[in-house]
Amino acid sequence: MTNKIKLAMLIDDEMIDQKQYQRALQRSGLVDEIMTFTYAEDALAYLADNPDVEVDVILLDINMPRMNGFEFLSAATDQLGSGFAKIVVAMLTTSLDPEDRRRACEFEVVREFMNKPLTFDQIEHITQLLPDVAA
Amino acid sequence: MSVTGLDSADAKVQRSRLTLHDSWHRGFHSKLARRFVAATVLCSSIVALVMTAVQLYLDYQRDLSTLDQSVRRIERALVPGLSESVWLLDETLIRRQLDGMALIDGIEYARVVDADGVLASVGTDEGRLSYWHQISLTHLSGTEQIALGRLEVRVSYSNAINRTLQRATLVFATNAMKMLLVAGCILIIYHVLIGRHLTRMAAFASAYDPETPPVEFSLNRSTPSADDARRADGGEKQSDTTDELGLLEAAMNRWMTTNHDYLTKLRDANREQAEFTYALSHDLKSPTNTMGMLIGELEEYGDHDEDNHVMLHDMKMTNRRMKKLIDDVLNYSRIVEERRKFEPVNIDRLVEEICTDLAADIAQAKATIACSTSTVLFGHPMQMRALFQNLVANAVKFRHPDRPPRIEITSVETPDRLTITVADNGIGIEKEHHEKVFGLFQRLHVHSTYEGSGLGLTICKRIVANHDGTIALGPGIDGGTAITMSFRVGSNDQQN
Repeated sequence: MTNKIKLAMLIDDEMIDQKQYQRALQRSGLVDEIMTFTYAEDALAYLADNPDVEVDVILLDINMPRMNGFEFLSAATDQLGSGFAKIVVAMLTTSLDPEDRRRACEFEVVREFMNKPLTFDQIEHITQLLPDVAA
Repeated sequence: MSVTGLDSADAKVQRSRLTLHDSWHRGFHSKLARRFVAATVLCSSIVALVMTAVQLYLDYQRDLSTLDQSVRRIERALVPGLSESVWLLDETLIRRQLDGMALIDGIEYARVVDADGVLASVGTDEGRLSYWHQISLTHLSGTEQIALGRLEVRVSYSNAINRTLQRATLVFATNAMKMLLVAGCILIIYHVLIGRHLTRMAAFASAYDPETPPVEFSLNRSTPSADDARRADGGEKQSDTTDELGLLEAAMNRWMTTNHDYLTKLRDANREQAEFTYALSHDLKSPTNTMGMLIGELEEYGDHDEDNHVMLHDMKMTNRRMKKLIDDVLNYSRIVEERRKFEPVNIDRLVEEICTDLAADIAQAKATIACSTSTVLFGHPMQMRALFQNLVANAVKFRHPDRPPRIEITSVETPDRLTITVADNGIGIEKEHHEKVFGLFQRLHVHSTYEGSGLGLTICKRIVANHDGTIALGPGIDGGTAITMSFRVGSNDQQN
């Protein structure tokens, strides 16, 4: 029996890409609720303002205007600390640069580094990461 | 500076014949030579002065001891005779003997004195620079020594002093002459041995232009080891690399060659990269076009519902974005590679033309553009056009939603700098993003709010750099943005 993602947060600057993720997540049937942000700083502000809201997964893009993926991870870890760490974060990006993967893995909260596009297998894989957090 | 320019400057210095007059003239006009000579001559003069002083002092002492000896001679040789004359009270004899004494060099006054006073005296008692010397006169009568009186002589050392002064004057005069002659000789020697080579190297180094292919630099010196090498090699001028000048000469040549090699490598790498970027973008256009066509076809003639319609629209927008991005990259790669072909560009007229090109966008945004530079910039016309077009288009695009966009283009001219500012009253750029926005593909907004590839300001920065200028962001009108570009005027005027 696969776990379900109760709340997934999507942070990606491209509206068209977001629409696609939403389609994929909904089709998989493994996600209840989806929140979307096009600016990382907006997502950060939301997380800071709503500490009781439990986000299961954050799908995070790297290349975004103003605050990029890495800057978001840095700022969130600084501001939200251990609370932030309970959330599973997966980098979702077009980047093929191994340096980006290495950099992402330096952050404790990043549990997975995936390349776009978002497939069903990848979504299932993420749900399987959740029991680790609950334990 | 062209190769011929470099060559003729160097040749001119070399060709000036090595005549005595010329060497003296050049040596004299060289600051370094003058300092060298001044220091050397000063040093040598001080040493000479000290040595001379020592010698004069010794001579003076010798003169004084000679005087001493005269007095002693009087004592030994003449006093016995005088004693007898005094015993006999022979006045004439006494006088004659005193006369004899006075003739001796150094004795200026002599007198015989007894219990009653002065018996006889000879000479003048001037009393300057002299001292008294007294010798007692006695007569041996049987075994008894009877005291008769004494002989008093005045020993003058004024002569000794005069002689010393004369010697000193002569020595100093000759030394001064020697100093002048030697100074002249050193100037010439310095110029021949060192100065002219330094001048040549300095002239060569200042005229060095890394853009031109290196010309071998040779001092053509005639030193023993160079001559030997030349004889062995059969007539060709050789360089002596065993002394400092030779090492410097060899190093300069090495530097030039290394520089040129590096520059060539750099240029090749740049060109290769630009060509690659160009080829890549060019080839990417083809599939992009195909995509566009297919999407259009689907849109027009395909069977689809509402959802699909939205998706097709998204596909079309995304493909268009890709096309624009490829075009922008193509533009950028062209600007990076572009050679300098500068002309005078009238900024006011350029902005007018740009406003005509962007007339539709400007009218739609109800934008006002005021250009009051009245300047001419020496630059690449096409790049200048791209630069200002980018800036004006940006200012119109990023307008503030509450007010019509206003753009002001002004300039400030100083003798060595031309500064042009494009200021707008748009949404502005936060200070923390000022550095970022010039980066490749860096954007501050999502595509749904403002379109763009993130290359606009990057291209502007590159164009400004191509013109030896700097670009910076600052506060504009009412919280908008001002972009300030500063160009060096002197260098821009050079015909290349």
